[in-house]
Amino acid sequence: MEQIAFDQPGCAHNTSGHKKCVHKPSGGESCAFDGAYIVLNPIRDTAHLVHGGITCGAHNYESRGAYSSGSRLYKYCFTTDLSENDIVFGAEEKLRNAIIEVHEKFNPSAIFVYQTCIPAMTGEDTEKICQTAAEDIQVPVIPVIAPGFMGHKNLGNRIAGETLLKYVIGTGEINRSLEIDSELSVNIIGEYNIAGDIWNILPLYKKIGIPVMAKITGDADYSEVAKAHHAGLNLMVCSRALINIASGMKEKYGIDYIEVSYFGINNTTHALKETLIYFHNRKIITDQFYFEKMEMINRMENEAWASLIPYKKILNGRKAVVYSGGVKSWSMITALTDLGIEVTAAGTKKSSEGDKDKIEQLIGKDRMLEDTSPKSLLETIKNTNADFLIAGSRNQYLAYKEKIPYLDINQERHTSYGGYAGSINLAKDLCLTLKSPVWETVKSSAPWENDLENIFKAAT
Amino acid sequence: MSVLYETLKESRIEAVRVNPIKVAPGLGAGYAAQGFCKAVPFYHSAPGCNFLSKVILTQHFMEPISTAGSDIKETALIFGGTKELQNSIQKFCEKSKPEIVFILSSSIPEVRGEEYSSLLYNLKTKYSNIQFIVVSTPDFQGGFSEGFASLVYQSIFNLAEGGEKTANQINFIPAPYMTAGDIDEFIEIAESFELQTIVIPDLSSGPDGSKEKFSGMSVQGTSIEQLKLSGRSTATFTVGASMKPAGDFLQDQHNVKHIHFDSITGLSGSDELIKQLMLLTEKSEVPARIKRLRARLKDIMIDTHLLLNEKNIAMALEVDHIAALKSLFNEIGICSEISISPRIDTQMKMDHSIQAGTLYDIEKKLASGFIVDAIISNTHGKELATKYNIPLIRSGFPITDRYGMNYNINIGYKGSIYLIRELANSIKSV
Repeated sequence: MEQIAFDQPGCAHNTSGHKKCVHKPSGGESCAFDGAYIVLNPIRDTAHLVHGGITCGAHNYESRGAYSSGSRLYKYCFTTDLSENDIVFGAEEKLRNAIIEVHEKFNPSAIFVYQTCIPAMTGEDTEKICQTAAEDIQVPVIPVIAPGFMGHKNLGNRIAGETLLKYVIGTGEINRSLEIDSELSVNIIGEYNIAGDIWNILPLYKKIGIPVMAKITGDADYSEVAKAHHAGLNLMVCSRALINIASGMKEKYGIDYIEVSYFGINNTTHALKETLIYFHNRKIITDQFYFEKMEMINRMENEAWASLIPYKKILNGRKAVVYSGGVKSWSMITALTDLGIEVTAAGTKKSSEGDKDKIEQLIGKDRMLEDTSPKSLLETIKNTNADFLIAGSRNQYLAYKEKIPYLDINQERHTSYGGYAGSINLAKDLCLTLKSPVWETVKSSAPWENDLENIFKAAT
Repeated sequence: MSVLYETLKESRIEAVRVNPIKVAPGLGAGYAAQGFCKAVPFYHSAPGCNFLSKVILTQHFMEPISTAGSDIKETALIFGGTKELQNSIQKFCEKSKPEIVFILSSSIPEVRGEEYSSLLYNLKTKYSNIQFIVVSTPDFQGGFSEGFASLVYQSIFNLAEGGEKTANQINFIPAPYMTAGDIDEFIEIAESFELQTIVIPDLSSGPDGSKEKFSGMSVQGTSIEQLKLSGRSTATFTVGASMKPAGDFLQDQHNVKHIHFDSITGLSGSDELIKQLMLLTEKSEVPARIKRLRARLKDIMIDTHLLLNEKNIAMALEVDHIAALKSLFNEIGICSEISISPRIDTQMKMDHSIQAGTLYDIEKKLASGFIVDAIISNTHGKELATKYNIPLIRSGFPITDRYGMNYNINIGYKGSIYLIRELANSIKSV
């Protein structure tokens, strides 16, 4: 499994001669287990059983802001919390019991079992345990072999992708007489419904008459992901991290994929139009349908631009430094450009080669920042006169300590920035931080820092 | 269905923990490390242990937090990871110039049985001005409190020096649940008895928001100098069973009188603290501020007694924290029929209302119709409290969804007043 996850000949930029194409940073990133957990956890009606010490389970307990409109079972933390005895005598029996217990008490649609560092070291056969347990309880029990020492988060994302391809996608059937027209439907891959992003995207597809077969994995049910192979087209959002799902589905089921993003108005329009163009080119939709819906997208886009006007007045000409990973690194740049904000630098440490190519096209090579240490980020903000830092939550207090306006765009935020509605939220939040009076308030000096002599003189 | 499944069905014991409030000992140690000056917790672990500890500590303190790690890879599993660990520590020391490096030995090296003496020798010869302290924090040895306590113990064990006693100087070793507000309150009380306090670890000045500029490490907090001087204090005040060994060590090794409290919360707990301070300083008079606070506490106890007497509050906290709150609850008639802690002490086993368990154990009780007036737990209690529409009072670690929680006070007369106020108002507003 690990080898498959490393190999990604499907990447266009993989010219290195060997098949390995995973982005491997030098540090400051999470582990493979965490990467796999982030991808799979939003499948809301499943149980996520972490087989390992308390660290792995507790650290990921409610740590990400993926929202659900249905079951809340995915929010539960299940862990085997291995003790010293478990390590000495083996914990295979404990894991079997744990799986059965979870099934009996919570009745999940499926159980994902994560193998972490300790059981991997003691050489437990998690795959085999899952297989026999699944036969016993007659519910899918899916092993996710992603111990943290295997590599970084990005590798874990891919392992999760492989796991979905191997165990989940292709196992579900659709009822053709009742359900949606599968030829015309799409899957949205790599969108985790952080802060409800997907709820701003689904209505747009409804409006243009394209049914969504499966969301992978934001706000999704297990059965939905299982029948994803019936869709007509894959829309890849967090492009590089889960591209193996898209390329794997193309190979296995012949489903094409296009890379899209829903950050920013232009990106959203592009994503919607590309979807229509794809189906139109293949004569799946009629000319009339196509032109009608293209017109509708233009209307929605114009409405969005109109509601941005008051914010653009404030934001136009401002400067920002962006540091994020995955698709957000380049799509956030486009989203900010939509608002008239100039991106003076973008951190690229967490980005893959493909994302870097896109960033280079957007802002040029000299604005790409390889060194994203706190010190380097601060220097760049100062040197380029940037008004904000836009980054993940780890850098939030770095910015606040230096009294720099900041916006969180990663997994821990609580406002949706996806789709047209999200783009307006983004503009609103940027204005809120920028126009807050606190930045001035905190600059005022304390009584004892003033020129005391003059104050005393004035008082007498 | 296999035969094994059928036979096991009868004899199975609980194998899965659901919604634990337990966190990793490595996280407890990383938390304590934030209270030392120019210190860094250096995780000898896979990358996630370090990265996610940093994320959670940052969210809890709402401050930039520094951690570092060796990012163990597969090869290190087979050939041992001390060489790589040494390289990454050296790299960190060159770049950030810390004064204390706490090497937190996680599950992987502990399962392998890694040995650090040659590593420590190499590092100490190379950097004579940096202290390197190994703290063993594998997942299978306790949780937050244990990690916190062993880091504090190791820092004192390695650095405290004996010598002539300094009059009017005491040590305060706070319990793992204590906030910056608690430590400030203790320092203030001690000051009113003309005592200077060395706090180990000083989480009131480390990650408390008073840091003005960004720095990769905590810039305030307990310094190495203070740690050395702690052996010359006249007494050590410790709160909570987990911190007892550190106080005992100072008493046995450096002849520093150990004054231990299970709780300095509630009227009798606070009285005990004041009594011990009076005895130590041989003062018969107490500052007016303290007298007034005691009177206010008695007053709010009476004002709220009709509302709070016989109310049932569920707690999901570390065991020392439960002990502290229980001492207050017993005084005002709050019963706490279910209290859950990751682990329980032998002395606690007498009390049947406290059991080792998780938030799910509380949920099971609620589902069976048990009535609870409020829940006290960390942020993870939110899902449960919302589901059953019960007020949630956030306390413990981590709290990631409320602001300024680090300034809460739970100790002394003042802390008890604040606690009663919060309890009464959250129960009343529903």
